[in-house]
Amino acid sequence: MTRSDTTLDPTWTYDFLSGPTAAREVLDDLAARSSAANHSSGLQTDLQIVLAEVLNNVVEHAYGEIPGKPIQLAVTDRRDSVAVHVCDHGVSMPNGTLPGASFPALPAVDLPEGGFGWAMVHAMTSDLTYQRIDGQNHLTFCIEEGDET
Amino acid sequence: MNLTHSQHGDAAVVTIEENRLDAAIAIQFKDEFRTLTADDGDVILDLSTVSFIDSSGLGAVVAAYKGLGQGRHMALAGLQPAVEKVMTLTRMNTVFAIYPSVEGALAAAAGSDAAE
Repeated sequence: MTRSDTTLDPTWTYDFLSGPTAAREVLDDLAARSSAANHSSGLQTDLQIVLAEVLNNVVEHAYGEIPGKPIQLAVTDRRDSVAVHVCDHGVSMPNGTLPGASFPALPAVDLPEGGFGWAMVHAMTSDLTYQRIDGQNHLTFCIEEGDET
Repeated sequence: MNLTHSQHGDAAVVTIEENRLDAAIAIQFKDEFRTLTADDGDVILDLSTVSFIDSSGLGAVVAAYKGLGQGRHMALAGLQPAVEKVMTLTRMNTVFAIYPSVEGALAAAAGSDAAE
């Protein structure tokens, strides 16, 4: 599998606006397309989980819950994998880098209620990159058949 | 947000009648769960209708459990594949007892009562 040049010829593209249910509608549509493309249930599940985290992050953090802001999603189907590119015009990631890959520890007292999202994204993707270009956030990654399942 | 509650001896079963437990309903879930489980006793969270959970939904499940207070247990029942995957990946399957069905969780609860 080579790099994720999703800008060249994506299979499915979505231009939509931020809002509390923005991710749900896109995920539902993508689930139907992924299923029709005969992706395995594992790949479909991973795509749903990862995109839910990524798109919620855009809505809640990059755009700070402000509705009506543009989000672009491009998904390239490569049969046994998908390459994904997400673009928004919101604020940069903290320190200009992706949050970490490690899962929070689970102490018996005071279990953590957060910090799982980006760790799941790291665990379920490959070639995960983040770039800040001309005031836009660009996130690219691949999800492959049979990754860590 | 549709949450239902039924009492089975000492254990309460709380069932989420939603397809997705995600950021859109996480806070509502926490609030309604707290109201339904105000009485003492262990809780079985029936997730059999939930086909999808995200990290916000997971955080809400953890918050719901912590809200029960010390000495009260919470088990999860009826996990669909995507929910099970999130529980395994985050190692929450080491925190909560997980059962294929509510019936199995109730049988285990009854068994542990008998042993006590």
